[in-house]
Amino acid sequence: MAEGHATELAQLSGTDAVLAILVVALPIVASLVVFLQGKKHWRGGAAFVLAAVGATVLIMGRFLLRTLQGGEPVGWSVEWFSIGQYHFEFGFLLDNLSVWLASLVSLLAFLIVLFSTHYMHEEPNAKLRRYYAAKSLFIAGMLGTVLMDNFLLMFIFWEIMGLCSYLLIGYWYHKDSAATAAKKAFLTTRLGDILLMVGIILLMVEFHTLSYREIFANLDQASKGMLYAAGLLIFGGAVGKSAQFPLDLWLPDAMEGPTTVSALIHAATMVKAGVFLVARSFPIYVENPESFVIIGVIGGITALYTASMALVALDIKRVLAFSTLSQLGYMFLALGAGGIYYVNSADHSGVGFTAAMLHLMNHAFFKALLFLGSASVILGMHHHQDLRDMGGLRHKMPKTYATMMVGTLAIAGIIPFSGFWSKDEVLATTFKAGSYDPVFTLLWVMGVLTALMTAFYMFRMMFLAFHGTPRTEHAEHAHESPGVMTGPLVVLAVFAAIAGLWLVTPLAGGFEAVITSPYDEYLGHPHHAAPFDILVGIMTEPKTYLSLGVAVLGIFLARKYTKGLPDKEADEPAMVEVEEHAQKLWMGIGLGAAIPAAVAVALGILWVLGALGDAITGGGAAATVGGFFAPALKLTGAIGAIIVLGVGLLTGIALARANGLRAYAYHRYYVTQMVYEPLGNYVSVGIATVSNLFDRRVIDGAVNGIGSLTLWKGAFLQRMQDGRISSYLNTLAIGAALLLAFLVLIVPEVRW
Amino acid sequence: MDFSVLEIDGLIPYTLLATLLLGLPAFFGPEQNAKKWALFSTVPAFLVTTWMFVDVGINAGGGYRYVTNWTWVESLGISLSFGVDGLSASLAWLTALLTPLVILYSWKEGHRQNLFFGLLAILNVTVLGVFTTLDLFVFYIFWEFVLIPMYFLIAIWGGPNRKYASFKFFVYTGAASLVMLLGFMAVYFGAGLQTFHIPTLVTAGSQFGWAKEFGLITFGVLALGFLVKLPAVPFHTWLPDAHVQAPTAGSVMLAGVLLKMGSYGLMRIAFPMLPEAAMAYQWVFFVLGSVAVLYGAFLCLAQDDLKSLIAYSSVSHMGMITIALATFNDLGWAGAAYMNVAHGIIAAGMFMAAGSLQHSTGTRLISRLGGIAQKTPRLAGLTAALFLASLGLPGMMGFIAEFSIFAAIWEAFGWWIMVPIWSVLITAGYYLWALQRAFYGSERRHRDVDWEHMHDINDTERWPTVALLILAIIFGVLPALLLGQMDAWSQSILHLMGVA
Repeated sequence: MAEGHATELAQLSGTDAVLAILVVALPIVASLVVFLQGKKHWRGGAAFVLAAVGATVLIMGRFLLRTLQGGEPVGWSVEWFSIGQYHFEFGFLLDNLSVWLASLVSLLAFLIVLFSTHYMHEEPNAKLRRYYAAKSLFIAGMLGTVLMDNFLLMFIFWEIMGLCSYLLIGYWYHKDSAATAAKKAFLTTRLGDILLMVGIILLMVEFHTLSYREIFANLDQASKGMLYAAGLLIFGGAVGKSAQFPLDLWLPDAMEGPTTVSALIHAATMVKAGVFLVARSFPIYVENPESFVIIGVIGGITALYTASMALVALDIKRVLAFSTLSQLGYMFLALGAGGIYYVNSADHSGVGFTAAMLHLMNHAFFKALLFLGSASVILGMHHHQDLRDMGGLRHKMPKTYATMMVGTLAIAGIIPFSGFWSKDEVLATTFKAGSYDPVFTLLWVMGVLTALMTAFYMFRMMFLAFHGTPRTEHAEHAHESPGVMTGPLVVLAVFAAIAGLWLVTPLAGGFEAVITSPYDEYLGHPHHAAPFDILVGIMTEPKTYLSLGVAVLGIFLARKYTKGLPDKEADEPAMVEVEEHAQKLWMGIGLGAAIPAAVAVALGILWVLGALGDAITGGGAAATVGGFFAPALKLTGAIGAIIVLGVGLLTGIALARANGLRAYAYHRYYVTQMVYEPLGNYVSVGIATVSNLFDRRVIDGAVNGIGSLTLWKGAFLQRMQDGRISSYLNTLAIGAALLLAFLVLIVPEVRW
Repeated sequence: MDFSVLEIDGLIPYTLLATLLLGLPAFFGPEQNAKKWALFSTVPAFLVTTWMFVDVGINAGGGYRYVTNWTWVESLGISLSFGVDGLSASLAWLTALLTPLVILYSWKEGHRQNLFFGLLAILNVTVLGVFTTLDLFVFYIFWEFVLIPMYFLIAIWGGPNRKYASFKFFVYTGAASLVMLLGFMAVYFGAGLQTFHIPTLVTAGSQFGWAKEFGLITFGVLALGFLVKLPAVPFHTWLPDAHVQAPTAGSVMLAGVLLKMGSYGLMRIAFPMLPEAAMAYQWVFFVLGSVAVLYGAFLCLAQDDLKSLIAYSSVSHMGMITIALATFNDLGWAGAAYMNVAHGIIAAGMFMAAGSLQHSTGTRLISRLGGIAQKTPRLAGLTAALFLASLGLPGMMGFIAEFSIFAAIWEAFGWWIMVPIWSVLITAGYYLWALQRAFYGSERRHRDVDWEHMHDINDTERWPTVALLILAIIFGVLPALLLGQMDAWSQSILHLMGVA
């Protein structure tokens, strides 16, 4: 298939190839060393990890400098293994996108590991080595995911990240909640990974290669339908990894891990891998622009849905976790809208793509900063995380407060902090995409609403934690963290403040020039504006002031509503009460969905049987069945949807009247308790139990039945069971003699 | 590198003979030396199979190497033919590797040592014979003789219900091999070439073709014999019983190499000899495999005994091989050969870990464990790593097998891939759920478990298990070490069968 070839990729020089390998290999080696020897060393071998990650920062710095000076994409690969006509390579692709992201990752990883040397200092060395070994392996996984030049290697490192995430969420495995959260994270992301794997397989069989460049250069030779399916399956993997709706359930629970883990894995890097993957696969989606609508809608829904949960969260880490989900939704929204705009606009502007990537970078800085800040607060508060227990911390922890405030201003989108620039670009692109597909206008409204909520919940968190007066003993006796923790905070605060300005400064021609260019080759040269023009464009656009306005409004609302804080004791019962409503709602929806679902399953079985029949007989049964039942399926689907919506609306009104909406959002709308847990705990275990009974009673029962019917069983069994070799050997000798006799005497007489 | 030094006539039969002779002192010598003799007896086979494995790997080609062709019963066409190719070299090597590891693992076994270690040494010879012989008749003899040591291993050193389990194992698989023998006879007489020589029969079968009904029936009979050994649903119920009752050494050999005899038989004999009939059964194999994969995985969710869980996971993983064979393409067949070795290494390691769990805590029941990782951190880590390898975590060898088989399924069956693919999720589910309930979380301190005397895995048991884990990682990172020869084999055999 792979007829045309991508334009020849410049090869890495020998030294650079070694350096590129080292970027991935050093953290792996450090991980091994720490795992085997860490027990004996300072802080569980943290120094090895710091040295390895420090070296990757320097190496990536070298690559980044070359990229910023306008260096062309370079690569290097060797054959890894092959099966028949399929060849799999191990290789690097160092283009603007990967070099920029890998540099970002290594810098953040270094700062966070440095921070954790003190944050985790209470842990015994024997356990700490697990922490650093997994952390280091994770860093290798993320760098590999970004730098590899093909889908298979990307997927392998992607899964290694998932493994380390599992190990680190479950770091305190003696806690039941941590063990459960780790399992949940792994299984939920694995659901997405299965889809991703099928997507990769589709591409592999179609193109006979998995190299990004080879595939993108030959896209026009594949069928649109296949690319549509592959693209959506790949997006399924991104949804799992980046915890987008409806696979968002694992990330808040992942906060069971140490806060430094949340900062690195569940805020700054791994959850961004999904965004990176969609960005990397951008040319595939361009072939079927409707997939951008799906990406944008999922992103927009997640942004708003999870922001509403952050409004009422009471655990400082949970606020940040929901916020991460919401911001990731923003990035997908930008990619979706950017794709639509790219395909339809006259000048093929890659502005949405750039906005997503800029937001990715800014978010990595300010969210890592906020998580590390919350880690500092948690340490200062002697491991108490409930916002209701805090208050007045700004006097006790001035450096933490100041740096976190920078991060908060950035995420709220206050000019000139980093988040302002990217958020504005995201919303602007979404609005522009609305003129090509009206759904993006709706998504723009949702985005603006999310911006309001973001400013609200972030300042609510800051006010509750740092302002007012201390509400507990722990807050009273909180203390500032040492320099090894506040140092990284200050560095991150500087980046969180200024990173967004890259959009409007002529550094290497501006961010747009740097980050769209890898796709020029496949998509034609998109137009990118000069940094100064972008600045003028933003400042003269009325909608800029709208989003600034809603941010400021959010801050005022936060100020207003944190003054009269609900009493902790009185609050708990109210939270529990609403569960009844939730159960009614979900039961209604469940019943409403069950009827059409049952019909659909029945039709599905019929179709499967028909298709199976077709496969064997070559007939057209499946088509007949499908054609006959399709209208019926649509009708039942419509009825089901009406029931679901009706029940949802009625219960929603009931909830609002019972003042339960807040508790409802607090419990994440009971999606986990009412949908995923029953599916995981009852449906699958139910099938398993029934299968087990069937296996033991029916299948094995038949085996035993046949066994006991056999007449010689009694005698033979007795002989067998005396356990003596001689008797057995006799039997065998007789058997062998009979066999030989059969062969020699009888067989030649038979005429076949 | 020049490998021709060992290209000597009779290398394989001499090695088998040496292994057998060195194993005899384990039976009849002083008891305290039994294990040393048994271990010593594995050395020549290990060296020779490693040599052949490396050679076949480097000089990858589809044909047989190290061939011996001695006439035995000329009138019937029975010969002492031996040889290895890309399919069997790795399986022979795996057998010769697992035997010493299992002897080392069982170093502290005290009950009737002569018999125990002697049987392991004999098992080594018989399984090696199955994987290296090129004569149907000799194949059958080795195949039958494999049952004997395994029967005694279960019947004497097994758990409380060992009599039932060993008897069931013997009768069930023994009956299946009679069915298989019937198939052999049909092939022998049907071909009318007066030979049991496998390569000759394969070439003949693909060249002149069989009468349609004869082919369909014969293939069905042969496949049935092999599918019981695999085991495929619904012929699998002997396996969990055998595994749960067997001593660790027995379980390791059973899962590690004995099950592979079933898939090896399909790949070496049933499919290549009757390719057209096999094609007619394509959908049967796909359905059988998909059922085994999903049903086996669901059964794992319901198990309380960790050993029984691992046994059912074998049913599920061997189902992948069944589907892979149905694809009739290169990805699938190379993937099936890879899965053979991958499952052999990983399942063997998992059974070692389960055995150590029994020794450390006195139970394997998940409902009695819980939170033991703090007492047994090494065992917990090792078990978790092996479980992750088995669930197909990339970077370990299970993933390579799974990926290529699923790609093959897409190539051959298209969107039907969406049926078996969900086993990947269920597999992750039952392993992680088991880990969570047995090892992690808070200490449950069940009253039937002696928490005070619980200890971590000892070194005798630890290092063989670690060795298997390391192998699973090496072959996961460098799959070409194995895939080169398997790919060469699958290309040539599919070409011979006329499907590629």
